Amino acid sequence: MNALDIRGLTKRYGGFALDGVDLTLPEGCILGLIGENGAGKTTTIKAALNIIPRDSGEVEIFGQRTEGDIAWLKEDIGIVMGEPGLSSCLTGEQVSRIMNGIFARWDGEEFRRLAGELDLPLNKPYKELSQGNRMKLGIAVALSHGAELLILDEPTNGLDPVIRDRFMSILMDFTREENHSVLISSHIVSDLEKVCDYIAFLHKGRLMLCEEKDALMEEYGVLHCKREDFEAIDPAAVIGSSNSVYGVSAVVRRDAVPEGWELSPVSLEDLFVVMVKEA
Amino acid sequence: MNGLILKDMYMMKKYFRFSWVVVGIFLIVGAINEQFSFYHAYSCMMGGIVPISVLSFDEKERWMDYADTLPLSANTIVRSKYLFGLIFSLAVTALAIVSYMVNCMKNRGGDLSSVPAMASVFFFLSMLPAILLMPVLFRFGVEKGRILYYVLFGTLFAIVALTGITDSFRPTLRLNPAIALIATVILWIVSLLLSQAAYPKRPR
Repeated sequence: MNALDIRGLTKRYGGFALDGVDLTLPEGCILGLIGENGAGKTTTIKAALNIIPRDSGEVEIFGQRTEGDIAWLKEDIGIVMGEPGLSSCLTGEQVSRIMNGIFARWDGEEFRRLAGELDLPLNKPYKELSQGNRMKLGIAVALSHGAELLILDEPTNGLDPVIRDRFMSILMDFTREENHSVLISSHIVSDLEKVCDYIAFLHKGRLMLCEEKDALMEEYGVLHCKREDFEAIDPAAVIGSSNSVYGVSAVVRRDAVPEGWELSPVSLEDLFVVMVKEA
Repeated sequence: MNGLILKDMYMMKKYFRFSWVVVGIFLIVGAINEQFSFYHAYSCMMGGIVPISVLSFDEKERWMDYADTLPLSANTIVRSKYLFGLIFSLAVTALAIVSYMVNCMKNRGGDLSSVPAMASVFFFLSMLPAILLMPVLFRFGVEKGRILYYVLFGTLFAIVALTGITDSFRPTLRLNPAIALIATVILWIVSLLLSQAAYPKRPR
């Protein structure tokens, strides 16, 4: 079963349209949603969760259609949408007591364990927490109520590299349970590259691709060559290229490059940047 | 809903200590002063405004956006705020009744016959801010609601302060406390239903 199925999701604002997005997140997997600022990542997540009304499209979470009030379904979903909107006077300990009255399966011990792992002080009021610590608080809440699906919108914003790395390890641990799944959006592509099984590129409200990460890595490579050699390649195989005094660097489809040519692995960041430039 | 009430309690404790000090002072003054009704009316309205103020903080601190990510239905969020308001209305009404009774003992020769009627007035006044303002705040947000808040509160304050209208209830009271109480509860329920319908349409 898929943890999340989005089909033809459309949402129009004044100058922006999310245009028929299709995404599938199989159970037990991590799907990374990559897009530049304003690409529609947050809109996709909000519309999928019925936080904002959608113009059209269908969304299923754990096989259940998300129409109308889906509050009950959120018992099984850990959601992080930027910094949590908590009152500036509340401490982490108070937040835990509040969440105990909101979530049916709230686990205060797990919350404290995660806070320790993320170096989050629980005795400071929210207003005294840094942006990174506020984000950690939201993450700890999302992971402390027995959720089977995590939906995380830019969860690593404001986190330093050490904590980001620890957070990615937590995500990997989370998906060790075979029915645990994660949808994570970010524009810090290197983070997603480490943990994701599936990658989706979103650009100006349109889905450019949604594929298994390993398949993407096998499908594309980076070619460094002289200009004369580059001109011999089928233009249809070239996703994007850049010139320098040393020659040409191009992201290409591996299967269209003549045998014997050496290709280096493409990073998701390079692939995304090239695809957006050429779009 | 327990978590929501607890959150509001924490906020009330942190942000509104001064309000409760003022309410306490006014009720003490109301207990000993002959012109007592203004103090009681003001205290009740001030107590009733606490949940409105908490709602303003919620919006400022983006709590409602965060609540969208939690297993909370729109109705639960609205009902919890009304329940929180009711708790404080009952608390401030009870304090106002005690203050009024002390005043009756001291200044009115111990005549407590008007207590039930005055209690219903206190209860109504403490519920009034929520009844009138909550649907507007839930629908239009705090900024627009604030305009109505000042118009309403200023008008009522002026009426109570300038005319001493609540004093006129006491000696010639024709108000049936039970009917007044039921009317208040009905208005509260209507307000609650309006807020439940308004909340999903709030500005985002």
